[in-house]
Amino acid sequence: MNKGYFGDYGGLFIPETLSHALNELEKLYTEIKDDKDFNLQLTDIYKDYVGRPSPLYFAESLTKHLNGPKIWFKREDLNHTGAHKINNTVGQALLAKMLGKKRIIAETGAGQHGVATATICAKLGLECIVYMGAKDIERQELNVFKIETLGASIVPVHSGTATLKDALNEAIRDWVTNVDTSHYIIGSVTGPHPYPTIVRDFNAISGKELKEQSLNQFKALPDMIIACVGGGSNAMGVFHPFIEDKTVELIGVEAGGKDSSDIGGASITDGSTGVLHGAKTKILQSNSGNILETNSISAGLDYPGVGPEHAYLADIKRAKYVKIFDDEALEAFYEISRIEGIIPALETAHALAYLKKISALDKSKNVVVNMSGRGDKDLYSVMKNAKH
Amino acid sequence: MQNTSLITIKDNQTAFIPYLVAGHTSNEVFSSALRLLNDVGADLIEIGIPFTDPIAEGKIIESAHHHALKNDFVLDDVCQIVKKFRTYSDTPVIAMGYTNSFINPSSELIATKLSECGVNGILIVDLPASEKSIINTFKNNQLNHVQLIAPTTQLNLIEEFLENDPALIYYITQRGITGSNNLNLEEISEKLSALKKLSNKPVITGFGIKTVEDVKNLKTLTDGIVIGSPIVEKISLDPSLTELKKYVEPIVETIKA
Repeated sequence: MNKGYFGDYGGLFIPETLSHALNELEKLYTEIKDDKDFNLQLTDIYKDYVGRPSPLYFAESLTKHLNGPKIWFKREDLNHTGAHKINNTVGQALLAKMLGKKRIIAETGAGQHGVATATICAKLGLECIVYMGAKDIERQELNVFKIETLGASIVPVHSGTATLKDALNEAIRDWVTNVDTSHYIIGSVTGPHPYPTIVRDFNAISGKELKEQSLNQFKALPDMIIACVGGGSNAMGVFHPFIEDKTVELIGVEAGGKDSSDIGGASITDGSTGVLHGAKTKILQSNSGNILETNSISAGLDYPGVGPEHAYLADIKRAKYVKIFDDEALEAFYEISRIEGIIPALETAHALAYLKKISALDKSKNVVVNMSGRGDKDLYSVMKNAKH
Repeated sequence: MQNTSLITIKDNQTAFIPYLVAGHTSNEVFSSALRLLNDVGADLIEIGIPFTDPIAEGKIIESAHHHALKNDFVLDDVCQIVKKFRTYSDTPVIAMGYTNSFINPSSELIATKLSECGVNGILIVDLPASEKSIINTFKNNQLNHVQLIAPTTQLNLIEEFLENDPALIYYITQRGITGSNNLNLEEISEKLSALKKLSNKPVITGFGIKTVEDVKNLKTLTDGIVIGSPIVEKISLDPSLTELKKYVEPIVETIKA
C-alpha cells in the first residue's frame, strides 16, 4: 500500500516542490513523537499555557431538560484561545522550531486555528502569516482582530468561494514558494501525509484525558461520543483513543447547510471519493471533479472535504456520520447557552443539536459531547442575523 | 538523437511548448489559439484542464481556470476541439491539470476519452510517482506520462520516478507557482545538467519563463521551454489573439534561432 493511507483514503497528492519538505516532516515526527524530552516540553505547555487537562463536566440541567441519557461535556472550549485548535498548533510549532523554520503559514476558516497559531507563534517568537477567506473575514471580525493583536499578519483571499478552501489553496501556494524557510501548520486532520496523522496525534490529548476522566467520574467508558466534523480534527482527537473500544459509539456531526436541498459541508454524508488539498478523501464535488461551493452557518464547518481517516472510519462503520442543519444548530446554540450557561461555538452547536435525536437512549447511558470551542467568536454574526 | 512520442531531442534545437487553458476565454477562442500556437511553431502543446482549486497556479492561470468553469466548461468540449485539431496538425498535445479532474468519474473513462480524441500525454501536477495505478491507467491508453521534478527534489529519488518510464521530465525552475519571477539561472543550470546525467529522457523546463531574454538564457540548457502565464494573459486581454501572436513570434524566433 502507498504511504499515508487509511484504507482507501489519504496519500500525498501535492506538487513535487513540497514532497521533500513533507518527507522531512515525516522523518522528524517519527523520530520525536515518542521522545521523552519533546513530550515533556509539550506536556508543560499543555498544562501551564493551554490549561490542560480540560474538565469533563456533567451537564446536569441539560440532562434533566432532555430527559434522556446523562450528558457530559469535554470542555475543550476552556482551553487558552477558546477551542481545541491550540492542541495541534503548539505541537506543530515545536516541530517547526526543530526543523529550523522560523516562518509559519496557516489557513483559517472560523478564525480559531488562526488565533491558536498566532498565539503560539507569539510565545515562541515565530513569524506568522494567516490566510483567510474574505467571506470569513467578514463573519469572524473578532478573530481577525485577535490574530492581528497577537502580531500575526492576515492575508485576505478573494478567489473562488473566498472561504476556508480557498484560504488553504493560498496557504499551499505560499508554502510552495517559501518551502525552505516556512512550515505550514495545517489546521485540521486534512492535507497530505503526514499531516492527518500529526494533527490527530496532537489532538488526541482530549481523547486520552476523556478516557481517564470517564473511568474516574462515572466508572465506565462513555457509551457515546459526539463531535462536530468539518475537517474533523476535534472529532478525530477525541475518537482516536477509543477506536479499539468497540462499545463506545462514535458520532461525527457534519453541517447540513440550510436544508436538505442545500450543499452544506457534509462531505461524508453527501460527498464522494476525490482528491482535495493533498489527500484522497470524501469531498463535495461535481461529476467532473470540480469542488462545490458549500454553505454553513458555521465558518469552521464550511469546507468541502474531510480528513481521510474519517472517510475510512465511515467506510468500516466504526464511526457514524450524520448531519445537522443551520436552524437546528442555532437552536442548540441558544438552548445550551440558556440551560447550561455555556455559549458554544456554532461548530460545536451542531454536535449539541444531535442530542435531541438520541433522547430515547436509556437514562443510565453516558454520552459525551466534545465541546470543541466557545461561541464568543460567533456572537457578532449571530447577533446580526438574529430575528429577535 | 532520441525519438519519443512527445518531443524529439535534436542537437542545438529546443522545443517551444506553449500552455493554454481549455475553454478559455471560450471554446472558440481556445480552438483558434491552439491553431495559432501550432502555426507559429509549437513543438508540443500543453492544455490545462480547468479545475476549481489549482494550487500550483498563480493568479493569471487560476483566473483562466475559473473563467472557463464559469462558462460551463466540460471535458467533452476539449475532446471535440482536439479531435478537430488532429485533422489539421500532428503536433503532440498533453493534458495538464489536477488529480481530481483525471479520476472523476473514473480514471479509466477519462483516459479513454483523452486517448480517443488524440491527446498524447498527461501531466498531473499533484499526482505523486507512487500512485502507479492511476499513472498506469493512462499509460495503458497510450497516454505518455510526464514527470515533474522540482528544485527541492532529492535527485537520489529519481530512480523511483524513472520506474514509471516518463516520456518527458519537466523541470520546475523555481520554488513557487506559475507566473512567479524568481529565475535562478545558476541553480537551474546545475539541476538540468544533473538531470541529464541521471537519465536519457528529454528534460523540458517551465514556470516563470516570460521574456525573450529568459528564453535566450535557458535555450541551451534544456530540451524544451514551457511558457504559460504570459500566453494565458494575452488570451485573457485580447481574445482576438493579435496580442498573443505579437508576443509569441519573437519568443519562437529566439528559441529556434
